Amino acid sequence: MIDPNGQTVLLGRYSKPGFVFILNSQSQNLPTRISLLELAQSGKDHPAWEELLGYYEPFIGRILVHMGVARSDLDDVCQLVLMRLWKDLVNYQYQPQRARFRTWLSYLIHSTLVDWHRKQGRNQTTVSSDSIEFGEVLMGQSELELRIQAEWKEYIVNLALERLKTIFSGNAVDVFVRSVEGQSAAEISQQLNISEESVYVLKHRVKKRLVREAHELRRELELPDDNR
Amino acid sequence: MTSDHSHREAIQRIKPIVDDLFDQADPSHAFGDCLESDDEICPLYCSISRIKERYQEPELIGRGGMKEVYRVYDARAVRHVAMAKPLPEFSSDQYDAFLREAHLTARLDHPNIINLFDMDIDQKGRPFFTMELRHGHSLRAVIKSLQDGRSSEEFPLHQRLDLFLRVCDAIAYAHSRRVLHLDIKPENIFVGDFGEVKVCDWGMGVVMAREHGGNESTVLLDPDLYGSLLQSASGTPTYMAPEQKDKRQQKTPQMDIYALGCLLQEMLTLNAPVKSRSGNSGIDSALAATIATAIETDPADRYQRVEEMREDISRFMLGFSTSVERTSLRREAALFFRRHREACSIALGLLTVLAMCVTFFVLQLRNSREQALNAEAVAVEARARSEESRIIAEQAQLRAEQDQRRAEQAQQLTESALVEAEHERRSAEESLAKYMAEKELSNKRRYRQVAAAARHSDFVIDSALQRDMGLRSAIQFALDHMDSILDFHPPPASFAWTQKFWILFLTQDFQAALNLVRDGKEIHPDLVQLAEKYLPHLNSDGHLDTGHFIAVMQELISVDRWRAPLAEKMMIYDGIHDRSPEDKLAIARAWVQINNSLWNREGMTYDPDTATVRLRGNGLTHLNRTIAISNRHPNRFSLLHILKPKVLDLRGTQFQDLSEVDSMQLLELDIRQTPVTDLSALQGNRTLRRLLMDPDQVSESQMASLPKSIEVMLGSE
Repeated sequence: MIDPNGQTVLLGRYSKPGFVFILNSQSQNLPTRISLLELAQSGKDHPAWEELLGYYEPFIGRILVHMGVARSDLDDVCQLVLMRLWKDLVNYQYQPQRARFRTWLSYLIHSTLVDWHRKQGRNQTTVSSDSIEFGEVLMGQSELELRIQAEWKEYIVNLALERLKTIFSGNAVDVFVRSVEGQSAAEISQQLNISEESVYVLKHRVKKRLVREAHELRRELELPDDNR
Repeated sequence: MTSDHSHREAIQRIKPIVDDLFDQADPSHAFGDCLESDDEICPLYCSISRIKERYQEPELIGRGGMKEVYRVYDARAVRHVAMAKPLPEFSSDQYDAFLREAHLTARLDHPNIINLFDMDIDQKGRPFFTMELRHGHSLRAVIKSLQDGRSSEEFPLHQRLDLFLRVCDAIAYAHSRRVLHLDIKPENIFVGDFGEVKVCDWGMGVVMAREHGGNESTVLLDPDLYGSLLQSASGTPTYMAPEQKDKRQQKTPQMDIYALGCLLQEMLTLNAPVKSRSGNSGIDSALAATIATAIETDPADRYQRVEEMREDISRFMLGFSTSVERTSLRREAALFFRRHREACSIALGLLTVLAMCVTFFVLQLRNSREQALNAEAVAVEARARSEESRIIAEQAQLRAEQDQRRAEQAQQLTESALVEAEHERRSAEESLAKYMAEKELSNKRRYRQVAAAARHSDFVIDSALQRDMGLRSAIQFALDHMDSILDFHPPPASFAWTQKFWILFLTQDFQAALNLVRDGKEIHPDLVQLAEKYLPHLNSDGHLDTGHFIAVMQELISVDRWRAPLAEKMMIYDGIHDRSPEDKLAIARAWVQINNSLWNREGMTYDPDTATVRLRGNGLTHLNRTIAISNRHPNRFSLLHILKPKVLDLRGTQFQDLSEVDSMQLLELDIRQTPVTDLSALQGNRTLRRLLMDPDQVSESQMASLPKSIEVMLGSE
């Protein structure tokens, strides 16, 4: 977030509706380009960091909710995770053997959460229901990676789908969704009142574009996995 | 939010392939590896490339002398087009004629000439070409429906003429390209649903030979190739110019013009063209003339160019006379009116209004002129009258002037009279003032006189009281004098009236006194009351009896102490009246009592024979009036005046002042056992002969100063 003086305010709280896809308009047409993540490593003052936060914050928030963090604490924990993420980004940059992206992210979230719970525990002498959840979180560390993997997939595809909305007319995405659901081309053409030919065309074009957008997003937002 | 929701839904719906999609989008792979072929992405291209048969689904829609036309679907252009094929019976040596038409048509690029899309040779080796296909009818069908009376609203005269003009445009354009149609007829003219006009079927067309010397770059087709005509093919006889029937004849634009004339005639009359005047019945003369010119037998008499004919038609449509028409002035006017219908209507309307206005104005003018004439006559008359009246007025003025002069004189007189009157008035005022002053003076004088008379009467009475006998006449004299004064009629409040009342009252003439009151004179009300009270008690000789008299005296004193002099005078006047000595004593005793309030009233005796008065008792101190004493009413009478004593015995009283006995002419005085110590009052006494007193009562010097005539007797007895 940029304050009136033009400086980046560290880890500001974001209003999610005001979220801007700079990525889409700015960096798409560059044939070989540095990913958003790499750009963000160059410094917190870089606009890329701002953009990156826009992508990561909702996702991390979602994960935290899944992990049972109370709504009232959500913003605080989220900020903590993002802080860790920033530090890790800088620190892990040049390590030759990197963990997989999802492993890294789950570790990040998990350890932050543990720290936070510990802190909470110190602050609260009485044993509360949080401690039970804390135990669950500790136990679920291995599951967390899987969950993050699944959530991240869905998140990326959903982002790509949202972008398609701005590229195609409403019908096109609908055609694609229907075809995935198993409707035949004839059925779709009848229900949406378009020619069968168009159904074929749209179906393929949407899918192709969807993969392309997801590809783009992953390239921008993930650390490349070496072991793949 | 709804879009969010729908996307959330969308992501749920495509969940099965999310993993697959995500893996495909692995950034470590180069993008596009896993995508399908372009065929699926660009189906149009693929489908076109896959098309084997371009023209599909042929459907015969027409047949001409040389070719038949199909409606086909162009799979590549994805549209329906018209496809022309030579008649099946045509052999290959006749194909050139067919292709010639295609070339001619392709060459003509005009909105009113049918467009050629494609020409080729099919698999069977037969040539074909495709043209635009439009929804609509041929002009033949239109004319037919007009004949049936169905489309008369759709195609009114001007619409048909407009349509004809488009045909002219097309032909004129073709002629400019040196292409002759030579088969113009309703069947070859296409009328679209939206009014578009296309000239079709250029199969009979020829390219005109190049003119000598002409070097037109626009001529692309070789006349040698396209100029000749297929022998078998021939035009429709009805629309064919007479010279066209001669096959050897050079083709000229006039042939097309002839056909156009026939076409126009048919479009207007809806009948097959005939070359006679009667054929033009029911047509406007201008159009009839145009048709007649176009279908002249001799080509030289016809229009030389299509544009001329077109010009005439459009002139007619715009309401002008055509070039071939013999126009009269009336005709021109009618045309003019037709051209400018609204303007003419407005102008005519305005003219009418103007004319009405002018008429109205003229009428008004005439009316006002008549009125003016009348007014003039009236004015002349009035002037004559006014002249008369002027003379009269002048006379009147003269008279008025005279009057005025007279009035002025009168005014002057009046003024002088006024001045005199003023003088008079002033002198009158002066004399009045003098008179008033005089009168005032005399009044004053009279009042002084009255006052003087009143005082005089007072004085007269006072002095007269001394002498008893003259009193009555003195009173009468005073009354007379008062009356003489009162003849001046002094005001009722005047002192004189009171004076008269007074005099009358003291003489006990109450009646006369009350008469004054009745006459309105202002008298003291207490006296009036007394007069009224005692009036009834007067006896026959006009006097009160002793009792009432004493009562009057007492009442006078009690009412007002200052009435004491009046009471005294009344008593003295009464004294001259003949009363008995007892009555006189009673009156005197009452009087002494009044003036010595402490006296006990006892011890007063009177002996008339010796004129001796003896007084005894305490409280007797004075023998003169003691009440109402003033300078104005001097004390000159003794209390015992009416008794006229000669001997007075005051032994044992408190009497002190011997001067009080001075007024009495005593012969003998006894003052023994009195407080008298001063005998000086007796020094001038000439009547006293004997004085009785105590031995040591006075000093020796007192005794010595006594006159010699007085005999002093000392001793207690």
